[in-house]
Formats: sequence, structure tokens, C-alpha cells
Amino acid sequence: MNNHRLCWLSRIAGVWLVFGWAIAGAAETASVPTITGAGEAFTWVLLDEIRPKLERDHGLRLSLYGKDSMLGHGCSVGIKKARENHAGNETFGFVCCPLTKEEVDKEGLTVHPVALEPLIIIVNKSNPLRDIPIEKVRAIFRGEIRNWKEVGGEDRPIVIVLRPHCPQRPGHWKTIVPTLEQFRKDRIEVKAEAEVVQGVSDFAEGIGNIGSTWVFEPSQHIKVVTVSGVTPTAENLRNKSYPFYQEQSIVTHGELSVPLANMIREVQSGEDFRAVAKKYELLPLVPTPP
Amino acid sequence: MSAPRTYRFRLVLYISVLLLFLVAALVLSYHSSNNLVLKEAENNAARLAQQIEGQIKIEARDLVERAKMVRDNTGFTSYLYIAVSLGTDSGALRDLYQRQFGWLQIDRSVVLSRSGKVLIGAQHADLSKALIARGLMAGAGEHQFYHEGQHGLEMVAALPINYRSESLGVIAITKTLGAAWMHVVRQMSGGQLFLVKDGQIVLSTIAGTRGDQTFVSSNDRADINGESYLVRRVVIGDDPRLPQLWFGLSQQELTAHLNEQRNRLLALVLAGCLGGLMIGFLMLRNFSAPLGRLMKLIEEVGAGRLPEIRRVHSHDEIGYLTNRFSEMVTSLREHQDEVKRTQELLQHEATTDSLTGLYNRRYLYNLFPKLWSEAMRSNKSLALIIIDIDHFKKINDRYGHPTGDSVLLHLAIVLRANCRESDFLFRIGGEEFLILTSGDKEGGTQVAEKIRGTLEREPYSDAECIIPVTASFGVAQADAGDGTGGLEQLMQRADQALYVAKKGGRNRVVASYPQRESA
Repeated sequence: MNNHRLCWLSRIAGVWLVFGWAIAGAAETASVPTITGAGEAFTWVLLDEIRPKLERDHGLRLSLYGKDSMLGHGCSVGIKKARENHAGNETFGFVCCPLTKEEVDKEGLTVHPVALEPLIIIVNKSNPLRDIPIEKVRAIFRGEIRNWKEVGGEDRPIVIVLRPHCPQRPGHWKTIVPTLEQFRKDRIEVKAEAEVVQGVSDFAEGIGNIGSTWVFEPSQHIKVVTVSGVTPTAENLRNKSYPFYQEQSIVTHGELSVPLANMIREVQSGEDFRAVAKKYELLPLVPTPP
Repeated sequence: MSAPRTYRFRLVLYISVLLLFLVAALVLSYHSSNNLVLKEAENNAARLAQQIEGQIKIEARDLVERAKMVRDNTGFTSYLYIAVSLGTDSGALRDLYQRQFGWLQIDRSVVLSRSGKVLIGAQHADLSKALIARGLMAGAGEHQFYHEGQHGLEMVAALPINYRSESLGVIAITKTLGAAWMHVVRQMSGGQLFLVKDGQIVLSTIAGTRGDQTFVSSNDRADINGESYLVRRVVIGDDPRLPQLWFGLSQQELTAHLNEQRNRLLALVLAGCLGGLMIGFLMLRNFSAPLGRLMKLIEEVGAGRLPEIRRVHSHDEIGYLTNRFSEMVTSLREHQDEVKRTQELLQHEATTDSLTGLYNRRYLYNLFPKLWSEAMRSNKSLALIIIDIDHFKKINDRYGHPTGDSVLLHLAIVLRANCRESDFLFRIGGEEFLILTSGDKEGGTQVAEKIRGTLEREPYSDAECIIPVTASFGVAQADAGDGTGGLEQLMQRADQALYVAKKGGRNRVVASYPQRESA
């Protein structure tokens, strides 16, 4: 009889323990502030890699949107998301090119520079070339060189695949050719970075550019070439021997909450960020505090 | 003539009319359905052929829309632009096409550059030639036409492709109107399809049709494989070199369907007849039969009979009526029995002496003619005995009338004890009794003597006294001369004999002489 009663008591206690644990877990989840970020794919890659540490160290839950579809989201989405920030709905954006002063003033944004990212020059894997001199790269994109044999390759017409994003902002592809009008006209124009990679993979004659954080799929026939013998690394960006790059930034709007401000600081200068930057050859723009 | 007015007759009449109507409808439909179905089938064949034409037009529009889907894809046009303007390998274009449009439900696709170079679909040379022959690379508008190539007859949608106002070439996609398509259309229409070229069937939905089967259409009819078809041409394009598409409805199939429908109708009519008969039977059983029984009972009651009517246990109106009628007849019967008993009592009282229970004089006069007639008819004799108690007045005077009545009863008992069942005993006066017995005068004398002896031996006795009782007997025999009204004469003769007996000292039997003898 006593054993039977004890058994029932233990069952009831077990149920209460589980119930209490579930309630406590739900309450804890509800109390953790959620910060939402959205924007272009390159910054998303590095944010996504350090997200576990950011969430753990700053006691927040981070929702990131930047590579959900083949088309990605882009810098405009990052700016839009930053403007949605208000108390109780903390948001931020991430962009791959520096915003214009007019844009920052008009929208009331704050730009938090993160890193410089090398723009790598990609060609089809069947292309025998391993290096293209910088002037010839620019000449190719301008259309002055139209056949690969002119740069030591096979006798094939050159096919340019270009995503002419953010034409009003400085940096990015403008480091190759300053204006869109100067680019070769008979090119393949696409709307997403993934299409740039797919286009170069499809055409044996293809050439394009993309950020160094892009992760290629094994099925894609892509090869990265050096520019005038210089590889696209952070160090070569620092010593200015590699000429093509884009600037990754976080943008915010209005007053920042402490967790968000801390998180941005961590992204700009934390140890984990340094490790990711090293992995993708990014050049941090904010020095590590002493 | 009035019998047919009965409910049963009407019911049988109605059911018969219903059955007759059903059978007539069946016969009429059998005779009229053949021509009707054939005429309707001809209209149907034309209608279905038009529907197939409409379906083909819809499929053609759908094919054009699919071609537009490819043409309007910016990735595809920019790849094509590069391939055409730079002369690159078309592999990238083919890969993109396969990646983005490989799922399209089409049979063949060809992309030609404006110079006629095949960029996609090099294996479909016949289609490329057809496009070139039609001059479609020049950037003209949409084209939808039919083409007979290595895949047979096919529907083609061809669209020019432009990029930045520059003509790049043409894309053509096809849908083959082959066996699979024809079978789908057959499923939809229910008829057969024939693809005919130069009078020969090159493809059909009929299993086992040879490729070289001749197709000759006359008056919208054609014989194929020994089977007759109602046929209509399905117009697809105006090129006379193309095979013709024909739609046909098999007359054998139509007849089979007709017979199937007829059999269903027959089954329905039979079921209707059976239902009608069953309803009639139930109505007769539930309404007419009980009504008939009730009518028969009423007739019996009307005829004066009051039969025993069993109660019924049904709770319907007829059951209620029958039970009420049964109660009424039972009540009548009980009343009739009572009347009969009263009649019998009155009859008894009218013919019987109340003291002795013997018949009275009135009944003697009623009975005698019958007995006399019967005796004469059967050639038998009839004897009459008159009995008179000796000195009865003295008994009355000495012992009183009650004792006198008891003496009379004593004599009645003695008479009953000594007479046969067939003898008739009467009390005709105060102390006078009469016996009618079959037999002659001697027989009557013997009976009288027997009674006289018994009476003499057995005196009347009661608690107070013993009274010796004797009687005198006069016997006479009826004869043919008496007639039915000869009772008076017979009784007179017996009275004369009785008188003689009285005169002779009483307590004796004297027989009379016959009338003729005495005369």
C-alpha cells in the first residue's frame, strides 16, 4: 500500500518537474530579446558564422535574412530593415557597399563599417588562364579585349557576366570599371550574385566578379584568377596591391539598444569575427581594442 | 353488367392498364430507339468532331503560351543574345534551357539563330528545315502550324526572339498528335480517331488496325476492319499535304450501347410490371379480399343466415368494420335464438297438456291427417285408443282435486311406460286420454290391454293413501275410408267401443268394428 502511494507521489512530482521545466524554458525564451537583421549575402555569411557566439555572449536571439533564395536580398533590403528599428522591434541591416552621404542623411542612418572584402575575378574552369593583368581585366570588362586569345587564352569570344547592383553607391564593381556606361554593352546582365556564378559556370568563355565570401558549389565550373599575379587576400588589400574590393557595413537607424550596440561592436572587432575574416580574407575596418 | 363496378374489378382494371401502358412504352421505345439513336449519333459525331477541333485549338494556344514563357525569360534571351552575337558555343544555352524549362510538357523544341544555325534541338533536323522553309527566322510574328515530320503529325508553336530590339532567331516547340494523344482524345470523346493520308490509315485508336488499311468515306460513313463507322473530319490546318484527322463512332458500338440501354429499359419495365403486380396483389389481399369476405357475409345475413364470424386482428378500417359487423351478427344470432326458444315454448304450450305433459286435443287434430296420410302411403294401419279413468269423479270427490290431478299424472306415467317411442299420447279431456299407434286394431287392443293390466296392478299411492285406479279402453282402427278428416269418425267408433267397455263393467278393453262392417 505504501509502495503504491509512493509510486503515485513520484509520478505526480515527475509531471510537475517536467511542467515546471517547460514553463521556465518558455519564460526564458520569451525574455530573450530578438534582433532581426537583413541585407546582402556577403555580410550575412560572416554574421551567420559568428551568430552562436553573439547570441550566447549578448543574451539575445538573432534572426538573419540574407541568403534565403537564389536572388538574395541586397543592400536596399538592408537599408529598409534598418529603418524598421524601434523599441520592442530591434532591427539592423547589412550592405556590401558604402552608402552615399545624401543617403545616410536622408534616411537618418548610422553606418558601422565592418570589413573590406576582395572582389574576386572568376572564369570558367575550362579556361586555361590562371592570371590576368589588372589593365587587361579592366579592358576586358570595358570591351576593349573581346577574345581570350588576346590575353593568352584560347581563341574564344569573351562573355561578361555582370550584376550591376547599387550603381549610385561607390565601391564594389566600380573598383573595376568606374561607371556602368564604360562596361561592355554586349554582356549578360543578371540580378543576383548566384546568377553571376551560374553564368560563368555555364559559359566556357565567361568572366565575372564576386565577393570572396561566396561559397561555390562543387558542381559549378568556376576558377578564381589572380590579378597581375596578386591573389585576393586581406593582406593584399591592406597593402593595396589587390585593386578590387567592396566594403561590408552594418547600418542602423535611431537609438540602439545595449545588446545591439554590443553585438555590432563584437562584429566589428571581436575575436570570432577576426577568425571568420581571416577565413574569407576580409580586412577588418575597426581595429581590435587594446 | 353491374359486377364490373366492384372495387376488385376496378383494381384489376387499373393494374392491367398500368401494365399495358408499360409494355406499350417498351414496345414503342424498342421500335423508335433505333432510328432515334442513329440520328442522334450522327449529330453527336459532328458535335464531338467540333469539340475535338476546339480542344486542338486550345492546346495550340497553350503551346504558344509555353513558347512565350521561354521567349520572355530574360536569362534565356541574354544567353541567346551572347550565343548569337558573340558566336559562343550553344552548350550554355542548352544547359540553361534544360535547367529552366526541362519540365515543360512538350515533345520537341528547336531554337534557331537568325542565320539559321541550330542552337537547341540539332537532332530535330526536319523541324529546323520546316522553320527555315517557312522563313520564320526573319523575326515575323507568332506562328502556329502543323507539321508532319519524323515524329508524325505535330502541332508547332514558333515565336521570334528579340533582345534589345534586335532579332536573335526563333524558338519552336511541338506537341505530337500521335498515338498517345489520340488515345487521350478517344477517352474524352468516346469515339475512334483515324489519321489518314492518301486514303490510307496511318494511325488509329483501334487496336490491330494495319498501317495500310484503306479509308474511304461516303455519306459520312466508312467501313474499317469490317465495321461500319459514322465519321466526321476534324480540320487541323489547311495544308492539303498533311494527313487528315477523322473522328468516327462505331455503329456496332452504338448498337451494343442501344441494346444495353434496351436491356436496362426492359429490366426496368419488368421490374415495374412486377411492382405493379405486387401492388395489385397487396391491394387485393389487403383491401379487396377482406371487402369481398365482408360482402359475402352481408349477403348471407341478408339471406337470413347468421354465420359465425371470426374476429380479425388487423387494426385498419376494414378490420374495424368486420369486427363491428361480427358483433352485430352475434347479437342478432343471440336474439334470434331467444325468439326461437320462445317460439318453441309457445309451440310446446299450444300442443301439450300442462298437467301431464302429453299432447292436447288441438295437436291431435293437427297431427292426425299427417299420420293418416303417411300410414295410407306406406300401406300400414293406424289404431286409436281412447282411455277413460273409471270413477274418476269419486276420486276427486273423496280425495280432492290435487289428488285427482296426481292420479291423472300417474296414468300419464303408466302410458309412457307402456307405449313405444313412435306412439303419440294425448290428454283430450278431464280424465280422457288417447293413443295413436301404428298397427291394426289387434295391435291397439294389445297395447290397451297391457296398459290396463299395469294400471290395475299398480295403484296410485302417496304418503297418505293408496288409490286403486282402473280405466276403460275403446279401440278403433283407421281405414282408407276415413280420409284425412276422418278423425271424428274414428274417435266416434272408439268412443262407442269405450261405451261398450263402460257398460260392460269398466276396467276392460273393447275394440270397435270397422265403420263399413258396422254399417
